[in-house]
Amino acid sequence: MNRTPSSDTGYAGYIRFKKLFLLGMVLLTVVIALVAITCGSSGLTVGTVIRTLLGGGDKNSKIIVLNLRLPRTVTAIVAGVGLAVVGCVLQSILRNPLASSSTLGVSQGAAFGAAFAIIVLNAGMQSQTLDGVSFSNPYTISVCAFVGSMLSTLVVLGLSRVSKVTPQTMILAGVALSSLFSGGTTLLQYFADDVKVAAVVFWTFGSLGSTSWREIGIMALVVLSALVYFLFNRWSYNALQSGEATAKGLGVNTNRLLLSSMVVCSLTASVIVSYIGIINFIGLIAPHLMRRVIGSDYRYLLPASALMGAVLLLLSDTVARLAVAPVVLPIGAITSFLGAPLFLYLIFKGGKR
Amino acid sequence: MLHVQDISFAYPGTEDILRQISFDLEEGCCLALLGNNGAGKSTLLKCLNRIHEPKGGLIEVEGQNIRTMKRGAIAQSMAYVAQQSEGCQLTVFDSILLGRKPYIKMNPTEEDLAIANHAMERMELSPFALRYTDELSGGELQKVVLARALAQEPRILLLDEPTSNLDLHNQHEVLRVVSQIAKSDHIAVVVIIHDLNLALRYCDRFLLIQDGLVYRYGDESILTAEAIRDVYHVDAQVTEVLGHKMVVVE
Repeated sequence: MNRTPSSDTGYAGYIRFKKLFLLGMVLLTVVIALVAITCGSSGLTVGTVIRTLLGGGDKNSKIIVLNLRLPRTVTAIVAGVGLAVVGCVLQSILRNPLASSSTLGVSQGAAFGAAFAIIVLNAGMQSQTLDGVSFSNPYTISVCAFVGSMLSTLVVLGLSRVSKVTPQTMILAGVALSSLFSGGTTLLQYFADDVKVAAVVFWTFGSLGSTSWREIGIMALVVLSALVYFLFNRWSYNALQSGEATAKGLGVNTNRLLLSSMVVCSLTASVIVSYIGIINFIGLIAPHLMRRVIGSDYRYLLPASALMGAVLLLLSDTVARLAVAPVVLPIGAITSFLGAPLFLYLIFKGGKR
Repeated sequence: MLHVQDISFAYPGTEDILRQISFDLEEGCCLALLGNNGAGKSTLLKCLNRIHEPKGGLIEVEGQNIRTMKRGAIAQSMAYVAQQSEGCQLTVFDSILLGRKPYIKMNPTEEDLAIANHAMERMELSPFALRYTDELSGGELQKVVLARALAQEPRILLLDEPTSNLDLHNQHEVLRVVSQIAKSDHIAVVVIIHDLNLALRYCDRFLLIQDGLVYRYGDESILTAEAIRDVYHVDAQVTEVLGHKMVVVE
């Protein structure tokens, strides 16, 4: 009775592997972040980057590292972590392996909000640069994108109060709202001039290069709070994998968990999407990749997915910046280009561990 | 230990599925819920620990009304094993450790790990400890969910057809362990079984349900040819083979 499983089943070693894996993922994230900051046309070395990050370096390297690349890299890490954990949790609560922030209509709601801001409120494109585009009133676009994505969430929540709360009704409501918002965006674009339509399209490409430290701070606060909330509920997400009745039998208030997790997921995704635009596949592929390696124990899957999300978005952004430098490719397209083949490989490989 | 009085239940917009169900169960007893398909057995089982909220009536566990208990507290008193178990990419040990969820605050204690390990050993699952549950056979998975229920250290064990995926050997093995645990751990067991002979062999209380109502409740003497004909609509003889009471369908 007093023996723990470590004594004869290798469980302690198994847990040690998971912890070491997480440590390895942290190191990988740091290394890729350093590579992301280093790579570019200015010819910086890793040593110079580290010196600059530690307070040294010359004026030129300070401008490049601290003002240009570091905010971009931190944005990639924060957004990657946020999108990945949101996807990870939505796949659990909606019991659907294809769930991500787009499933609840968050992305399409944000796109509609941005289109509304650009076309109706004239917050449109001011100039196009090598680094993407800059908008005359980015705050209005972010606020409208956030309102659009939260509107989608509130409608899904409202419907769930009228009807029975089930993952299926949530997904179907999300699909219907996505379609509605897509239709709305198309209509707005139909009546807009070419410049505004181009601005909407540029916004939906997504960009990591236009966030200020203040915006990064807001994103980080929201993402960190969501991560803490999700980790607090990790045992409940584990219980949910055995079915709703079993989870209830283990003391989980499944309705409350579904609704509260959905609100936190939508809020997190809305904040990220409203600042950086629509970025696909991170929320889908990061949890799936990690499930293959360390299983679906949410105690480890959540942090592992978070780190993988950061790694994938950092890699995608580095590819986007370097592939046809000095032009920066749309990050949303790169995540899809890297993510889709990887996802297909995982599906057809079929292995579980 | 378990007091059930006038329980009724209906899904929204439908007629009552359960009506005025009442029974009492003492510790150490194993109650078989019997009845044909659709009689309301699984619904009743889910009402007992509020997976379904009963429309009316009273359920008390050791004198405590479960309506006043939080979900976590109910899960510490009653463990439920669903009819259909789903495997996932959690190891066998982690799945069993989930039974400690009602007790775990942030991380499992050494005691939680030891209790989960004991439950795993009881169901002879130690060789599979690090296998994912979606790699197990139906019978092995059934044992895992039973072990998880035992890890909850419940006062009442609710089992919905625990032998449905098991071969003959494991059907007897699982029910033998369950009835033994009822006696040794002084807990009450409520189990849905379709095989009347398994029920007669391992249970000591029987509740026959017909169309959402209690048809009969008592010891094995209630399982008569007449009762079986009324509830299951088959002719059968109740006889004795090798000292065990058995039902033989004509």
